[in-house]
Amino acid sequence: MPTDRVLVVDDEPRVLSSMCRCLRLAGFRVLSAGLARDALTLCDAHSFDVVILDLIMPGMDGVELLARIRKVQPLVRSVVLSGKIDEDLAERDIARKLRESVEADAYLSKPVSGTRLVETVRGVIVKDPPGDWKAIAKRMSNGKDLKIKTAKDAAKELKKFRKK
Amino acid sequence: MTEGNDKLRFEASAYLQTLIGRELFRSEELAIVELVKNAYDSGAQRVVIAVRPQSLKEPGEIEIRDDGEGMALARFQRVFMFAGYSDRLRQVEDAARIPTGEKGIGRFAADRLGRRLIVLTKVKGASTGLRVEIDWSLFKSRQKKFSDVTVPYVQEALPTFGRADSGTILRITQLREQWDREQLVSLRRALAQLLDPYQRPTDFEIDLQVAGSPALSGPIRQAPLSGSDIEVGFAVTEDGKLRRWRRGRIYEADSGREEILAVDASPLAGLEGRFFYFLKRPTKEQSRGLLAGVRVYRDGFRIEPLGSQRTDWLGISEKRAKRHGHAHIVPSRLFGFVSISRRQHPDLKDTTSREALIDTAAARSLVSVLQKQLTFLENSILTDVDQPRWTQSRARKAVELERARFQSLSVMSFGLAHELRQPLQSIRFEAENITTRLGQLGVADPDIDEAQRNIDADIERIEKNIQLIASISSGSLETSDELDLASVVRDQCSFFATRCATQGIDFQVDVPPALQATVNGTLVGMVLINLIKNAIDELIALQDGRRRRICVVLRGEGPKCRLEVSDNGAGIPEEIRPKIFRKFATKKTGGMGVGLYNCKLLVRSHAGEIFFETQTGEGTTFVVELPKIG
Repeated sequence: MPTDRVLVVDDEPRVLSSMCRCLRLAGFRVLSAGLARDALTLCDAHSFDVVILDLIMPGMDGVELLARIRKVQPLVRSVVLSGKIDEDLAERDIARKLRESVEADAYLSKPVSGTRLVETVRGVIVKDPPGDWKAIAKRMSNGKDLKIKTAKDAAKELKKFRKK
Repeated sequence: MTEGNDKLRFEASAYLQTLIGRELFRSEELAIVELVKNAYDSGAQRVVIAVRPQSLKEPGEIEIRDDGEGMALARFQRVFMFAGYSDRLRQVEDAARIPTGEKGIGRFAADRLGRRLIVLTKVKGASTGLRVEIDWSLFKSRQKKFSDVTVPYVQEALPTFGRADSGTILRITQLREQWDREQLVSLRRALAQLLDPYQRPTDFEIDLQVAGSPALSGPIRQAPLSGSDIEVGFAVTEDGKLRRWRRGRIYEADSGREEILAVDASPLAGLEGRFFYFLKRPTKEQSRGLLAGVRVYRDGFRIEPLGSQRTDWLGISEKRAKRHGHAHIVPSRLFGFVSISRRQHPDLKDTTSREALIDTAAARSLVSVLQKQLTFLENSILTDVDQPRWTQSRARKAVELERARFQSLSVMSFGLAHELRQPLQSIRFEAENITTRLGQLGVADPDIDEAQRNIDADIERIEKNIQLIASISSGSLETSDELDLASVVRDQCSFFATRCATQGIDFQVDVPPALQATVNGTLVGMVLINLIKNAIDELIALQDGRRRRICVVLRGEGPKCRLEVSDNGAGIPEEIRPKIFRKFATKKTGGMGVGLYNCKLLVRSHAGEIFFETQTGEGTTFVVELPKIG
């Protein structure tokens, strides 16, 4: 199994470093960014299998960051790790709410255990990459529902996307 | 204009009459009221006002007929034709009736009503009467002297009067107004104001007849006020004592208390009065078209200007001004009716300036008696209206303050909870990292595993507390939602299970599987947390070796939900039981800042109740009852 590459984005330095350590010890290749800007720079230079990010960050919020990462890396999986306090105590409810604001592959709330995090990351990698070309094209076009009806449209969109 | 060598004298132009007649009387209705008062002053028992409004066929006409003493020619010349003349002062001394006015200009009010006036007047026993025709337009000239304008008269038999009759008829033609329905209604109201609604005049009647309108025709009556919030009535008995009663909308129907006060008010024997007070500006229907004020009626006929808007003869407005508006009586909501009689109160006379009553012992006594009754009314307002209102508003403000405090606490704890989560997350990761790394390095040790488990357990516990803070601080204390109260109680209790366990307290939760209710979950949570925390504090302080126990019970009982939190602690000491719900009664307000005082306020603001049962040495049970649909 090739080593999977994970990008971790969190504005809390110690959360970031401890999480990186946790994933590194679990065998992933990990790069980290404390700022959304740095994360985008890393995405230009490297390709990732998974990105883990908090939704509340100074400068740029997680929703926007994820959308911009997907523009350059349409196939990347995402795990949202939220420190947001929510009135709904059930994790499932929090996930449901998060899903309304951003579409990610998995949702976790802080404080999560290392074991759980590693399991989750492995879980989203094992999932088949989205074979649906419509879904891929949609992701690339920043979630906007373009009029992609045929494979030709999708190819056109992909071409447009590569030019950018 | 000189007379002799060294004397000057004023002359008036004829126009003076126009000034008086048209401009002094504020409205047509008041002009008629003025003429009615003249009739009253002439000793009339009855005055009939016949109005024939202008129509396409006929010009309008107003006729005011009284059965007073009438005037012979000489007197007519001396009195009626002499502007500003009045011999009413003399009448004050000896007349059977104390006159309502003595300015001597009332007759010019006729000019306000119509361009022409015909006066028919006859004294008792005379065979002929006097007929005078006045064309007011003759007075328009500013060049002519007042006395240069002449009016024709004839002495003739007046068929409308019998030989034994006396009286005066004022026939006003070429009316200046249309006299529509609205104005006629207003006229009836203005006339009614002259009459005492509580003691109808026995010797004076006003009858308004409107041609073609039976609805507007008929004797004038002033209807009594209705629906006042507080009514204070009083009467001076024959032996000078004061009988007083109080009733009104704010009192129970049968709670009208009556008392006899031993004051010496013998000069006022027979006096009766009523004060009506409205807590809000009364409607026209309630006030029967009257303006606020304390009026005095002599034998059923109003003494002006007592009680009119510009007089403050009882010093109510003055008192209010001195107290910077903190007086309890608002003058515009007070209506007073005081009835006196000529026979019983001969000393209560009007001054010539008609500003007040002549300053006699009786008049001073009247003012003092009335002021005392006003003070009684004022105290009634204070104790029965204002103070309960203040108490209520204080409680409401306290609840609002508590909510505001809660909101600011929420914002703070929300941020705090978020802050706590970050380091908690990194501690959790790092602790696991150590274990993982040690494992990778080949170190396997049961102590490390246990340390790892302990750290995890404590992190879970801290996380529970963060969630507790979050759950409370994200809620609102105002609205009620339909929810499963049982699960709310169970969730809140779960936060305390660990805490109780570590303190060796047996924590029992007896909650039904589900209990649907429309309540404020945050409120229930706060109160519950507060009660459980108090119970834990109580049990921790316990020195003896008894098995310590806290029991939370939830039950639905009919329309109510009943929540109990009991402990088997020392009980609440007898001396602090009565004040346990008061502010600052306990030092245990705890970190959440909600003491029992606040619990009570909040529970009450949701129409609930909170109380306790306690037994020294045995323990305490706090009970919260909330309506199921709140």
